[in-house]
Amino acid sequence: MNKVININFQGRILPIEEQAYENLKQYIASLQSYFANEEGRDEIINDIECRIAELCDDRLKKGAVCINEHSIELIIKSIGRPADFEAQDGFEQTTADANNRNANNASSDNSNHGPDFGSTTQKRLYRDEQNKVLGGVCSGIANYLNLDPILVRVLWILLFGISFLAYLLLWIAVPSSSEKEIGGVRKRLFRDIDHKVIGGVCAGLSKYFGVKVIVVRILFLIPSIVTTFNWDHFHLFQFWDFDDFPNFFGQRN
Amino acid sequence: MDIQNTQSQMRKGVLEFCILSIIQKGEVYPSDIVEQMKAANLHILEGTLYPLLTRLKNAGLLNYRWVESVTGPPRKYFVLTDEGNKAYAILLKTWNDMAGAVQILTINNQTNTKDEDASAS
Repeated sequence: MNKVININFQGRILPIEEQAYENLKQYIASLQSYFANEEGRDEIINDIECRIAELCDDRLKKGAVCINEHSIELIIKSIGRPADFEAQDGFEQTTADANNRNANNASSDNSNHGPDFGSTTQKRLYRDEQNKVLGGVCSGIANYLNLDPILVRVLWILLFGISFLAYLLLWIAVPSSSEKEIGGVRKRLFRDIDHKVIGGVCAGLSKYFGVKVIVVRILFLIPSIVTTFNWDHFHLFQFWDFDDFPNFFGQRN
Repeated sequence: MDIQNTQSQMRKGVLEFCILSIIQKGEVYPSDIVEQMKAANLHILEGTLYPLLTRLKNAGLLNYRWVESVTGPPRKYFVLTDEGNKAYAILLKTWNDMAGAVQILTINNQTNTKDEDASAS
């Protein structure tokens, strides 16, 4: 039982399932981002929207009660996603091409939209969000090098120890594989009030990154606990000369 | 050598010419162009076609008019402008020259590699 809403799309009222509407919005946003620098962008987007409206209209006329997720998915597939424009020069991938591509890119990942689906010229490094433990960094590296993710994780720990900094750097810098699929629409960061303990900061972060809340909370607590036991553990006060303390407040010796 | 890249470049090269050829035959709307390409075994995504049509129109090679439809939203019907017709003529000659050249170069290979051609894409 899915919620259906009415939208005013290209001058006509369209009954559409709420989730399908969200997917459609995301798709249009991905197109706008893809065509951002194209002259006549608005006209192109308008033409595509008209075409979508036409296809939706056909479905409704043929007896569909409303537009559902499946219909939108088919429509988007037939028009094409930005990733398709880049990867296949705008031509539909024929099955022969697809088989060749998959055969050439032997990969250990089992996600549907792995990074090797991408460019024909150069294999790029992505984070694999389908097979992640934390941020999918090691999974992404594993895909890129055609190694097992577990191997990469073990090597990482041996190389970098528990040092989180290098990992965090890559987590931020390396794009997610889901961007290619959906088209680069960024998630927004909110505090999650529904799942809060104090202010919902950790809950919000956990939702954004897709990591378990408890992990985020522990990560937040570690520095606090450490600092409680050892004030200067992070060497924040190393440049303060405490012998000079009286002078700070203007007292003369 | 990335063969898929080369194949992709070959297709990209003839794409505009193909579109102009279709429109040259008579007034068409975008989804009809996609259908005709499909019938000729050249599958193109609509999302590629619309930007291309807009670019050609902005370059002055195409013109369109809106046709109201009783059954759906209005459609753009495209025609070639005079410039478009000139461009088409030039590209047609280019294509014929090139196809002729390639034909000469590959004529001896055709019989030998016939089996290979059948299994390649």
